[in-house]
Amino acid sequence: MFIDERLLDFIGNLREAGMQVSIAESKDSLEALKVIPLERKTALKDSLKATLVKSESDGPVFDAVFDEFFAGSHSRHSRDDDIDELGLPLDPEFAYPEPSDLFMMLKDAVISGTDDEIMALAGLAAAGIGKAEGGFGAGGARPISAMAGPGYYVFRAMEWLDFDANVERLEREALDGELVPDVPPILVLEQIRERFELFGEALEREMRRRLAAARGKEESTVKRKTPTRPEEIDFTGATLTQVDEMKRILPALARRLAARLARKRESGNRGRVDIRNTLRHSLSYGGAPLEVKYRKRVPSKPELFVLCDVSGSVRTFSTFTLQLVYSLHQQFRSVRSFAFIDRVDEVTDFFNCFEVDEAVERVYRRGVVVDGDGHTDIGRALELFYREFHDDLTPRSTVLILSDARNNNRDPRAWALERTGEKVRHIYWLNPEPRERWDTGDSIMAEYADHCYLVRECRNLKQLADFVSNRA
Amino acid sequence: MVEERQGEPIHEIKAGMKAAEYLCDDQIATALFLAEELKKPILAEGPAGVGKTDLAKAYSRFNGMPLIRLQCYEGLDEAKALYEWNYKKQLLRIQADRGRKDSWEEIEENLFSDDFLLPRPLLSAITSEQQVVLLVDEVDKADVEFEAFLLEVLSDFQVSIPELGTVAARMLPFVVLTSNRTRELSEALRRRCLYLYIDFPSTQRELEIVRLRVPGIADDLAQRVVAVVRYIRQMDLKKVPSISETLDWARSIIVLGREVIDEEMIEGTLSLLLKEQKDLEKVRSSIKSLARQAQV
Repeated sequence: MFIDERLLDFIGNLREAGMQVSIAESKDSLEALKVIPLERKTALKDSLKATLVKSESDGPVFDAVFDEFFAGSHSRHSRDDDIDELGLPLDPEFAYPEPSDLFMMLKDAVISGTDDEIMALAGLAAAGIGKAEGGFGAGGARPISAMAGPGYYVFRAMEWLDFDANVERLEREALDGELVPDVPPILVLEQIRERFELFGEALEREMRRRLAAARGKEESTVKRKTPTRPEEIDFTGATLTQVDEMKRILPALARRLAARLARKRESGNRGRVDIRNTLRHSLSYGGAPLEVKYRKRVPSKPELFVLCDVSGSVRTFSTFTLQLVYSLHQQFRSVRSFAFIDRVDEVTDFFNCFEVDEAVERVYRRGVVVDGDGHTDIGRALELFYREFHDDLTPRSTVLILSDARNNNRDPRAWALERTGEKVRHIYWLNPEPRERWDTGDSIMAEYADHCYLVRECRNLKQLADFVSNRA
Repeated sequence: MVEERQGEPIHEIKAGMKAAEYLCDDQIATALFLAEELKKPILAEGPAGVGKTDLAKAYSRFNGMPLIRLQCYEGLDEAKALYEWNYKKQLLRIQADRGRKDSWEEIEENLFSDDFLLPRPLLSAITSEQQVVLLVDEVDKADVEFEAFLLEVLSDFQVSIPELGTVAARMLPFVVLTSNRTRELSEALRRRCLYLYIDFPSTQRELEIVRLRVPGIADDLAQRVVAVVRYIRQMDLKKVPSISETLDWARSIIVLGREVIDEEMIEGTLSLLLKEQKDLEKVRSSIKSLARQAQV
């Protein structure tokens, strides 16, 4: 009974931290606890993880909530009864290490010690910084530490150990082959990096544990984080890891879109009755027109002109959109792409030969798109585009502009957009910024919107996909 | 180690898997144990080549259970996964029997019997006399409809074949599903399974794997191999070499009888590590630095 209740509380905490745990999974975890040999200290964590964590991104959240909830009872190095209500060691004779000594021990453990040793050192470090801060409870040495979370204490501990500088020095020694002779330097480097990371994780665990002891376990320090699905990550401000995630799902997204668009095209209007075909078909029914054949109306494929802003903030957005457009090239009669910052460069060939990432790189290196200081001048770009390519624009053309409309207070030259709009079927403008930010600061979205058929907010892959599937 | 004790089930699994040439950590061993006890399938996700498929293979070796593999691909449907009737054989039988005056019931009974049934992996797993390991490989390549069908099968382990009736599993197979995460699998499938995320190994672990799987490799050669591969992994490539490529390369070096990794040797065997043309070109331009990694 007791274990069941504790477990349900724990699952409640997981849900509060943003993880989805279904009833079936709770049941599984309860079942698991019945069969797992609990003498093994890590058994509890491993078995709960296998039954409750169903996606890689939930892993860190689970770890944090687990460490806090089961503080002490799972750790093989220290138990709750070795720390007091301030999170400091109970033993009055406890030998607090000097930071430099501690780092020396850490260095040895990282190079040739066991995982257990590293984790024990994390405990020592936590004790050390705890002492310096006067404990983990509300009566901390500095006013701020009363409200501080584990991250704060980890940061302080790193400072106290002069961690960054020391690690950097060690890494250099590793690369020079001085740290561990007779072993390829890169192996040494990677190994110490992995081990230091282990230390960092153990340190964070220790801080959580002591905070829990000092402040009472009802207060969870694990912030709720709703996991963002890759298609909902905003283009602007996406981290490298997030960009990787988005890249991962892009091919599948493009495939689904292509399939959907192809189906739309096929199941289009039936058109008028095709007499000849109907009569021909009726021959197999002995002359009776049992099947009526229609003249299929094939909507013409547009010629697409994509103008993308490839300046810093909008670059990720442009790259992904171009990638998607090129994946769907069969839906268009032709696709021509143009990059701009303050000048325009046709980059169609680049995208035909290279991967999108590399193509964008080469565009930059060519140096054509940038003339001045590297800040966007949409107006000038629009004018140059019109002047150079207006002969190629026909009523079958569709122009797609990808930009945040931030013109750095330069001349909008909206007339160029107007003239372009007169020659083509439609102009679409996709803006990766949230709508509320349009027309703030140097954004002149409204001015350009006047000449566009449709202006759409396109913050993430999902919105981009929706746009494409509705409009293509 | 304090934690390991004889007779303790997780320890036994780890030892058994190691004997089957698969190094597993506590997390994996625990999941295997739970899968046995709770009779749930295991879903192993992670990048390509890190040992998800090998996990199933090693487990089947360890327990002496036959391995039945269902390789998923786009367009895989029920028929290819479950069973098909051997139409050709049935037609031939009809031709051959053409003189006889059997009633339809008799014909039907003859034609729709086990002789004419082509069991595909799922049915084989269900009807097997002994317990098998069912490996559903790369389930992310199949589509959502197939996933739903798979879920059904995994829930009851029984199939109704219209002409033969319901077939239920005598022994529940031990099921391992793998996914390379090219798409998100449905929540229903995840809920049904125990989950394992298997990632690239740490430096230490990769060395251990090489030593275990390439018997006879000299210690320092193993280090050089791993050093070069890990260096390549840091490069910006379309497809970085995974642990299976490391092992292939190590084995080829042994087969070629080489002891030293120099530029020439790397040049000659690079295609074992890299499978994309652009990656090969990129890495070729850095062969000198690669060779340097293998010097100590």
